[in-house]
Amino acid sequence: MRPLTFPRGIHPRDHKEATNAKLIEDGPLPDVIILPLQQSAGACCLPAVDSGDKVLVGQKIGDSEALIAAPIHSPVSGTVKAIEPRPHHTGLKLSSVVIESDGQQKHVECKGLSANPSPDEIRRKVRDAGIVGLGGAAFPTQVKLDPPKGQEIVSLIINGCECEPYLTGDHRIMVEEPEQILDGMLLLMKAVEAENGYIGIETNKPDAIEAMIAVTEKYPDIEVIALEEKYPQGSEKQLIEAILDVQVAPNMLPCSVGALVQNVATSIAVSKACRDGLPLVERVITVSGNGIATPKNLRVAVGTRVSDVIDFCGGTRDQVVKLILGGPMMGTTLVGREAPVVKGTSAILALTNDEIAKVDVHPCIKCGKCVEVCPMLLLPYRFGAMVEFGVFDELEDNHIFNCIECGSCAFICPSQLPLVQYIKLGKYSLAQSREKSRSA
Amino acid sequence: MSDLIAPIVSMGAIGAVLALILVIADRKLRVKEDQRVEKILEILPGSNCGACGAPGCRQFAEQLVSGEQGPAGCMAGGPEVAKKIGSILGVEVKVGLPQKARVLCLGGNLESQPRAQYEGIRDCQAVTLQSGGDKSCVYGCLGYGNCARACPFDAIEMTDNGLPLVDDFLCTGCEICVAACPRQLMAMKTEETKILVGCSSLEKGKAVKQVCARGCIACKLCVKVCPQDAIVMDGNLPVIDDKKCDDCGICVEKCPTDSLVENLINQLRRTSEKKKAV
Repeated sequence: MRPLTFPRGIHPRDHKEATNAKLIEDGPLPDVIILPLQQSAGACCLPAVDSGDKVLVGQKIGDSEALIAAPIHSPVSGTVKAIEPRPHHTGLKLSSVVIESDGQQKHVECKGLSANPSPDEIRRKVRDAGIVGLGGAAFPTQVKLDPPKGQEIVSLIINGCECEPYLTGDHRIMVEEPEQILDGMLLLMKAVEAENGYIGIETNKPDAIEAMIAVTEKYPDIEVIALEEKYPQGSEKQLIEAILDVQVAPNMLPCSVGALVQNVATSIAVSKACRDGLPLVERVITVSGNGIATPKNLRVAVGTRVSDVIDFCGGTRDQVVKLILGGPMMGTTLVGREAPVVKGTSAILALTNDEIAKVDVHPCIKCGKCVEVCPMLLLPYRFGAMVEFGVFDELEDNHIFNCIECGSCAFICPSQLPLVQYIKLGKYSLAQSREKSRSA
Repeated sequence: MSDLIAPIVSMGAIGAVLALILVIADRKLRVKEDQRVEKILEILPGSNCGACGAPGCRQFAEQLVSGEQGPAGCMAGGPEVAKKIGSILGVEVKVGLPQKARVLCLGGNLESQPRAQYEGIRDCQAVTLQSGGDKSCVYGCLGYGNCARACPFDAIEMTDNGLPLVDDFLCTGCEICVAACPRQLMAMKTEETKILVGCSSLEKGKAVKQVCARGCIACKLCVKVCPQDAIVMDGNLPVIDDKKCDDCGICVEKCPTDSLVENLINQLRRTSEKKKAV
């Protein structure tokens, strides 16, 4: 069967060869852990510990009462050194809990759920364990497990696309821990009472497809779907369109079409939380790029500094010109190495001059390539022009808030216009002026 | 001859009916415009800057007449315009001192090195959204000139050092640049403020020193040397009490990083002549 996919999108070189056959290794155990209190989408957490407190592995160090929030736990045992602003990957300093490790890794008592937990129990455990979407957006998972009344989830889609170039963390966990993904998947299906389960994997990961088919053979309601290698295949709405052949309407959530999408790594986190009671304190990241001495797939503690991870991989070569946290399409460029890995971090990339595009911006020639590739069916070149000339009021009529900032338009643009940057600026300015008119 | 009578009579009748309609429309639908609106409009600067909150000068004039705005509402016009408006409206106007835009950062490209090479939109807000900006000081002026572009009076110029320079003879104190700066580095000051604190970093001294040569390092020397006890520290920045300050200039002289400067109201002029406004 021909692999399924969504209309439009782009085909960047995948650059996965450096790490896609490497086993996941345990990362460094750093002396100092920095946990920004803003780890997930939604509300910022309040610290649950004080400076000087002793903490154990898995102990809650921050939580929020807001609906969209996830608690944060310590990945090490040791002492809270400070709660102060620390460098963050956004380039600013954000309030963080700094923990000095004592190297003993003493755990708090963790208890999993019973062998056959109820949906409510699973949801509560997912929240208590601080699980967020590990694909990159870091949206608190329990919120997605609790759809609005009247909307039922029929299909659970496990996202193993990993369409961003360089990234191989999800690929490796599918090859190495397929049983645990399946277990988490069954728990998630139970939590939302879904009837069907799908696992979407791009065809550039044949061994992952094989491994997942092998473990799901006995389950007639679970299907492994081979998807075309295309960016942004791993985006929620695009994945739903590819597998279920339905479009999620603008401003609507996937549950409006009865679908729920979770990343493979999130699925493992759910399994660990429900079976062993372990909170989300570590994740698998890819450390790659030509600038890294030995590229690796690492299981690192959340809060490990980028510098510690890079040193663990043998440091960087001299020609590194760009450090990126996350994938090259949607990640953030780092301005230092002090920022920590957070729950939503999928990779640390050190790119050299020959791996990054030379920026040489020209005026828009109205070729329409950005329109051809936009997976959300938008007109990116118009956003660029509108923001450039300050016509902010028309942005919304052109559905700027539907943009998922995947970067396909900027990738394809022959004039190399920073279209995503224009869109981000436009969205921000609109949000600002809205806030102003609300307060006035 | 008889051929002409019919058209003359019919045209005359149509004309009379239409004239009657116009007369009725004039009586019934007339909009009485307050004469004062036109008069005020003549006084206003006419730049339609929008700093008063109205979309343009005409709307502002209408709001003045209807009482929705006060005579001092025109930021760009300043006290003189306010007084004239007051005399038209027959109200007494208490005017403050003229205010001028001031930049609360002295760390230009020479003083504060960039921490990254930035390629993208030349806009302060866009740079801020991108990894927090390319300037090593996350509180300092980014130098991409949003304030200069926003100024409706062309009073702000970006210097070669990447800092805004305000021309006091063009600045009307309309406060548009204050809203345009994503880092809140523009502020309005009157001549009551004698000394300006030219740093907005909330960091401790050591961290400031690492990123900027003219940043305040919170050494508190100014607090100690001030003979009037007019300076106190608020966090890591000094705050000067304008009422106590007698402009002796000792703090400016003693500041080890030159981050205190004299506030020379009405004395700043732009350096280049190229864009001199009318």
